[in-house]
Amino acid sequence: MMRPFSAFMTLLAIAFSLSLLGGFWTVVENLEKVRIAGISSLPGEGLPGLTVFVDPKLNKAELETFKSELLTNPRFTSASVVPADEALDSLKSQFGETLSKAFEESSLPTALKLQFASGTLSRTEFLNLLNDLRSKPGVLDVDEGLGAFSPKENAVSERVFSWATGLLLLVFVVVALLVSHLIRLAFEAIRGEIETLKILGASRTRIFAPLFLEGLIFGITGGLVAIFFVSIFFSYLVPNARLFMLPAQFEMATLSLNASISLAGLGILASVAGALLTWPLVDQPAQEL
Amino acid sequence: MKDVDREFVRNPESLLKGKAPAAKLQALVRVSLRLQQGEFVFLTGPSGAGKSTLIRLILGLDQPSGGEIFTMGHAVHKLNETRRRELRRQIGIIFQDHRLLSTLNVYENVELPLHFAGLGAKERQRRVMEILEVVQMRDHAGESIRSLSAGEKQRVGIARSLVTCPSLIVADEPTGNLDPVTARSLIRMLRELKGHGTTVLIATHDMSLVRDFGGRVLELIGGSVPTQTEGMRNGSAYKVPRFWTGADNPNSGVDL
Repeated sequence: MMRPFSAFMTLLAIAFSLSLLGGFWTVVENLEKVRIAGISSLPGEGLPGLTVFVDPKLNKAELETFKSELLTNPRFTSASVVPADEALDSLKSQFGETLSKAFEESSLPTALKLQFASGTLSRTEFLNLLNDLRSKPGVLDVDEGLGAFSPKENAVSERVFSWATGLLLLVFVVVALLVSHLIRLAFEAIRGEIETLKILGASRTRIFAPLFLEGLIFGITGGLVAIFFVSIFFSYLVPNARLFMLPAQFEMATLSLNASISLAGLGILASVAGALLTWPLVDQPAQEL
Repeated sequence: MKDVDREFVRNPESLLKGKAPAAKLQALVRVSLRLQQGEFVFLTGPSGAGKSTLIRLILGLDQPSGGEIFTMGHAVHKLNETRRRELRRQIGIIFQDHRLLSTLNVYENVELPLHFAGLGAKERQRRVMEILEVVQMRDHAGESIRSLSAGEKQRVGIARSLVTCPSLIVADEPTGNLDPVTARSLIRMLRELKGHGTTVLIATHDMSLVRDFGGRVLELIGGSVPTQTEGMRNGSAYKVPRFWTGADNPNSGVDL
């Protein structure tokens, strides 16, 4: 068994490493949130939203039913119907009478403007939501606002996100290696005691089982402490200090459930790996007398 | 032990690097000896004579370069690591530096070999308390190892080696950190175990102990055993534990 101070320092180092990972993960999630907010809202609108184009053949009652059905999804706070004639008026005001003549009144679909509820929406969730909306009967298309950005801006945004995701994976691997080696080093400090146990005739299992359990406890505790640190940091410290100078209406994503589970899982996996790395220490014949 | 050689390579790195042939050190040269059951034996010799090497070989902590070693009827040189560990569980080992686990208290340290032997909780408690009584450490059972003096630590180490009633006790410089009075008392106690069929092998360079106590003396010089003599006898203030004598009769403890 490790000495209390050594155990405390190891635990602190593990929690700190996992906190760094959790913090970076949350930054990446916020980056994605900013990106989605950008692509899903038209310029000038405060909150992100979507425009759903529906079949113009739907009558008013059918349209209302469809609208109610969409609002059952807690992701949306409001839905407003934009009839075809209003859409044409809007086009006229934006592009002028001449250009708007290219559209016939009957050819314009009815539009439903949906407003997102505040909260976090991951990239996958956002894309799933779009697909879900597009598959609904009566829906012709969904404008997610991608047109509001130039292809160059979209490409830069995509690239930044890809790099951030790649870096996140790298940090994940580095933290896994760091935690596992921290645990191995912590056990290296009690090599003398392990040698004594071997000389006294302790079996491999009898020596390894407590080491494994101790490593596992380090991983689990370190993961939980890291989740606590990161949650506090992003839900209290960052918003109050306005560290990223984000607009007031932007609600920052805190450590998500997925990230928390991954963090705890990584803590456990890395500690198991760390404990397994001590196996040669347990397995090899006693070296000292 | 028959014709045992143990050769060490002084500079093994040079072998790996393919440089000049590494110098070899002959720690033991064709050592042959036999310990009878219940014998009390001193292994003496100057530093570097090979005492610790010989003990390591007997315990299966090292592999001979040549020859055969039988410990308690087992051909140690042929055993795998698992079997060697099993064999060591049956041997009481006393270290010069006591080798107690500082994260465990006195009781837990002494209890360790009984855990390895798979004894039940009640039996473990009974034996530990009794052996702690014998080494006069019962009152310290719950104390941390760090709070003990060198002599007390060594007594705990001796209690740990005796608690399994081993038929062979191997001690490597067991009195190195003890005052003369404690050292003599503990050697007396170990010597009296031979009356219960326990073989005791003590490696020491303290010739005054060898002179004062009975038993066979093996002197290692330059890796071989040229001389064997007989020592003297004396009495002890310690008692052999009752569980050692195979009975719980309060009168079965033997005054030493």
